[in-house]
Amino acid sequence: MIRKADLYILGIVLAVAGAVFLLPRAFAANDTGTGAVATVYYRSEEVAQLDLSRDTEYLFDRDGFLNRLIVKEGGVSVAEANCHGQECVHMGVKSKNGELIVCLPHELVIQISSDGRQALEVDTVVG
Amino acid sequence: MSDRGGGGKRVAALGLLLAAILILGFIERQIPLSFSVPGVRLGLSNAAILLALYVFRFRTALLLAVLKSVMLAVFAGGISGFLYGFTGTMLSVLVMALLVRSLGERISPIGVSVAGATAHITGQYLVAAAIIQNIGILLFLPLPLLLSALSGILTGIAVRASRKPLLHSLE
Repeated sequence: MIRKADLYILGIVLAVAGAVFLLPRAFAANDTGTGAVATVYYRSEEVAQLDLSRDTEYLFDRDGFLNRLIVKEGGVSVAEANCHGQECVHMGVKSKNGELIVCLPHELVIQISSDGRQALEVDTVVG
Repeated sequence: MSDRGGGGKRVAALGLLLAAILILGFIERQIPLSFSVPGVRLGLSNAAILLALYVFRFRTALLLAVLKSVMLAVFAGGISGFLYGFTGTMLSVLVMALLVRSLGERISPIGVSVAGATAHITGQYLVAAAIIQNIGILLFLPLPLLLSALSGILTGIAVRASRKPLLHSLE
């Protein structure tokens, strides 16, 4: 009882998944690849900029949200955090331009870029 | 897609469906499917909502979807998670209703279920993107999309199997 429509739906979903997967690679053509800076955003406000060339530790501590970031060997990762799902910790080490580490419950975003500019930004919706 | 069955049977069936939706919704929240990607769920409760779409009116299924989001937020703790769940569930039921209404028997429950699951997870990620003000989080979608599609196929098979028996029992 599988109809053509079912296959179309499945095809579309797979195609979209594939396209989103390949998107960063397409844009990376003019990028050197390795990021220079990790910018930390809390509630879309920049709270820190970490130089990836210098090993360091950064403890984010606001409003009860704790995330311990570690910069090591050109990459950044969340070593530990007090969020429920620990997804940010499991995201591992990021070091390439455009990569993100996100801690949704803490509204924390760590973005890798070559110059500190937010590459994929959503502007505040104007009324 | 009209309502079936006499009043009593209908009320009983609706009650059971709502209970199924809530229980399944609660269970799915206890099972985290992905460690690094938030929001991936088994989509079991969407199966019950889809069943409601086939057997009852759109309005009824919509009500069940709203009740699901509200009640789960209340007793499965997640007032903050409510926004994600609500958006995902609403987008899912709207997409599934659109497909069932426009394609009818030209699409099987499997396709509708996959579309619903996709809408659900995409809705959740859109909410996340809005909350953190960064659209880049959508780049995390590919794996969740695949897992949701798989879950959609499985629940679609379940709906396909339970649709006729449910309709018969309401006659």
